[in-house]
This record gives sequence, C-alpha cells and structure tokens, in this order.
Amino acid sequence: MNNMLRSSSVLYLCLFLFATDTLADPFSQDDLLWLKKMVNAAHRSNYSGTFMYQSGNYVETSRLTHLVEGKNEMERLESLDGEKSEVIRRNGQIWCYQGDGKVMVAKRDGARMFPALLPEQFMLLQENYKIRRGDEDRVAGYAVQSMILVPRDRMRYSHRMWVHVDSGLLLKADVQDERDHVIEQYAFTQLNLGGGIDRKWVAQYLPEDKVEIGKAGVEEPSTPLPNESGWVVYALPPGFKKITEVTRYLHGKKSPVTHLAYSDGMAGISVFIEKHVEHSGAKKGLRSSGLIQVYTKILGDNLLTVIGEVPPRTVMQVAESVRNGRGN
Amino acid sequence: MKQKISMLMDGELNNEDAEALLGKIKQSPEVKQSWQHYHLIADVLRQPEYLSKDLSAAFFQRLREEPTVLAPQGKRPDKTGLFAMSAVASIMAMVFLAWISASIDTRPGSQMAKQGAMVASEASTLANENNMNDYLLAHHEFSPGVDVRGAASYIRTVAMKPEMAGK
Repeated sequence: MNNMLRSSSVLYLCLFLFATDTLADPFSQDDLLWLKKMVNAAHRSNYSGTFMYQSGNYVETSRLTHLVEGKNEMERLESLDGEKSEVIRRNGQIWCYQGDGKVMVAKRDGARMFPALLPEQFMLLQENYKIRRGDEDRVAGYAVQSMILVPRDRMRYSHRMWVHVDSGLLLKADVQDERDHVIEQYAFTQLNLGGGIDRKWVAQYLPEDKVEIGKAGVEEPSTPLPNESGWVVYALPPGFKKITEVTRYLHGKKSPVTHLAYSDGMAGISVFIEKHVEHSGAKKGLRSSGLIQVYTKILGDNLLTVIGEVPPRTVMQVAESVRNGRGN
Repeated sequence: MKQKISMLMDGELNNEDAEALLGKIKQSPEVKQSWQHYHLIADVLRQPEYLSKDLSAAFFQRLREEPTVLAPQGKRPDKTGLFAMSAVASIMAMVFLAWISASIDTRPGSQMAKQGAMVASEASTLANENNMNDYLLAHHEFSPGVDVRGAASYIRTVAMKPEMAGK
C-alpha cells in the first residue's frame, strides 16, 4: 500500500512537472510573430541565390530562385555541381528533372500551401518544441536573427534557423541530434533579394508547356484519394498528430499504396503500406539521408515504409507499432 | 503487455509486477520473443555495432553438449586451473562482454563517430535505391517543414544521386 502510494505520488509529480514544463514557456507573441514573418517571407518574397547543403561528408551547391507574380508562386532549385538536376515548383505542382532525362511530378497539398502554418500547426509546435531566440549574426552579408526550436523530448531533432532581420527570409538552417551533432545544414552564400532577378527561366521552363504529362519519361502525378484503410500506428510517438490518410499510386507500382501522414508541427512522418512483392528488391531496415530516416519492414503480406524528419528511434517506434485495426 | 516490458527494461516497474512479468517471460515463448525484440531495438538505438542477437539458444545448446564428468578428478596444479576455463565460462564471458558493450553508453566521441559512420554508409544505400524519390516526394507533400524551408526541402530528392555512394 505504502509502495503504491509512493509510486502514484511520483506519477503525479511527473505529471505536474510535465504540465508546468509545457505551460511554463509558451511561445511569446514576439516569437510567434517571427515564425509567421518567416513563413510569410518564404512564400511572398522574390529572391535568387546560391546555397550550400551539407550532410555528413556530402556537400552540394545549388541555386534557388523564388518569384511571386500575382497569386502565382514559382520556385526553381538547380544543382550547380555534379549531374544536372532541377526541381521546379509552380504553386502546388512540383517537377523534378534529373540528369538522365527522368521527370517526376508531385503535388503539394494545395490547401496547406498558403497561408502556411495554420494556428493548429503553431499549437502543435508549441507542444513539442521550446523556442529560444539566439544572437544576431550575419549570413551571406545580411543581418540575421537566430532562432532555435528545442525539442521537449528525444523523439525529435533540434532545429536552428537564421532569419533575415528585415524580410524574415530563412537564410541558414541546421538540424542537430540530442548530442548536438549537426545532421545536416544549408546556408545561402550569396543572395539577391527583391529586384534584379533573372526571370528568363520562368518563360523558358514553364513546366506546363515543356512537359506533357503521359509522354514517355514523364510520370503522371498520382491523385491521392482520402481513405480509411484501417491501418493504425498504436504507439505513435507523443506530440504527433495524424494529418491525413490517402491512397495513391507510386511510379511503377501496380497496387495502390496507403499513405498515412503525421506531424508534430515541424517534423513529418509518413507511413506507406503496400502489398509486398517477392524479389522486388526493396531494401529492409533503417537508412538515412541527412535529416530523413527511412525504415522498411515486412508486415505479413505487406511492405511497410516509414519516412520522417525524426531520429531513428522515432521511425522505428512507428514502424514497429503499425497494425491493421480490421484484424490484418 | 508491451508497455510493461518496456517499463521493466527501464526499471520503472514495481517489484510485484516485475516478478509477474518475468514469470510470463519464462512461460510464454511469445512474451519471451517480445522481450528479446525490445532488447534488440534498444541495442540498435544505443549502439548499432553490437546487437544482442539471441544467444540463449546457442548457449544452451553448447551447455547440453558439454560433457558431464562424473569421475572424481585429482587435484590439478593451480597453474593449469587458471587456464582451464570451460566452454560455458568463456561463452558466459563473451555474452557478458557483449552485454557490457551494448548497455554502457561509451564516450560520446566514439559513439558519435560510430553513428556518423553508420549514417554515412546508410545514406549511400538510400541514394542507390530505386523509387525512394517517389516516396520522398509523397512524404514532402504533407511534411510541415516544407512550409518553412520551401524548395530547399527538395534538395534531398535532388541530392539522392549516386555520387553520394561510397563516401
């Protein structure tokens, strides 16, 4: 009895500490304004610059151009070293061109494109991260304010962002694990803000003219359909909320893929479930690319792929707790 | 049940529950398997180079094969006694060492180097995978970070080129 009393009081103490920890430091109005300014700038500014991306030993330089014309937002990401590759975005539509002539098309969820960061997303962000404003600094010649999203538990990474003081544009970002080891980072080394941006590529690369969907080498974007498949992640890491569930066809797959998407306000986790094809060459286990972890396993007759901008333990916990509620 | 196993591993279960659970682990092969599975997951998370592969079956096999000497043995000189470690003992020592190396969080430096090495080698395998870009593009559709990072998020899709391999 005594023992029980003690353990329950410990539990209450923990709950209390957890609750006060969560409530003690909500984002200040100022922090929220900074975040809003940042997201707004990402969608509403005209800029063109060179940036460097680094993950482990891998370094790549790219050129990023972003233009807004009326209601249309256009963006082009072009690799400057190695094999030529390009990503072009026009509002919610995304085209990936790779050196071998392969073109891939994807769509961003239109409803969430702009205005981005809905109030719910801020709520989630506050539940899972503490925000700390760091020092003022300089990136690519511009004055920046540094901001750090510190995770409240070990299920997510810490994100540092350097934001242009005047415009709110994100000029540098890195992601750290719990040992303060930088997993990946990118930073502009040169940037033109506002006017004087070469607009030729917009006409040149207007994707709709250039790419005829259905033509050889061009993959049609799959239209994800809302779905209730019965698949459930039983041990969803705390702080993650389900955003949506869709059924889609991925390139080269005969059977549909169920896609469950989760978010903690900053990091996303996707669970893909499809029929397992023997000898399909699908790799199993844990793989990483910078911030992204991928974990693949076979579950009965199904192939399960979990992708997220989260630590390995988080994708593994998700993968190990996927079940079909309809008794699969 | 799984929550209890996890609590037991973390030392959070009270004595009564712990004993009951340990009893179940002994009796039910299914529970035993989850117990081992959880340890394997924990090991992977801590230090991917030493996995607690289920040694118990092999261990008991070796133990069964160990000859049982019934004849009384004469007293051996101490020197040889030192070296006469039985197979059982050496396996025990190995298991113990493996356990030690898996459970002790070694110096952060070496740990990080190992993790770094793992990430680097794994990244190359991911780069070479067919179809991975399709999954990544689909993932980015709903990933909240894209709102903040914009097209820079797609660098990973673009960056997944064979050059990444072997570095």
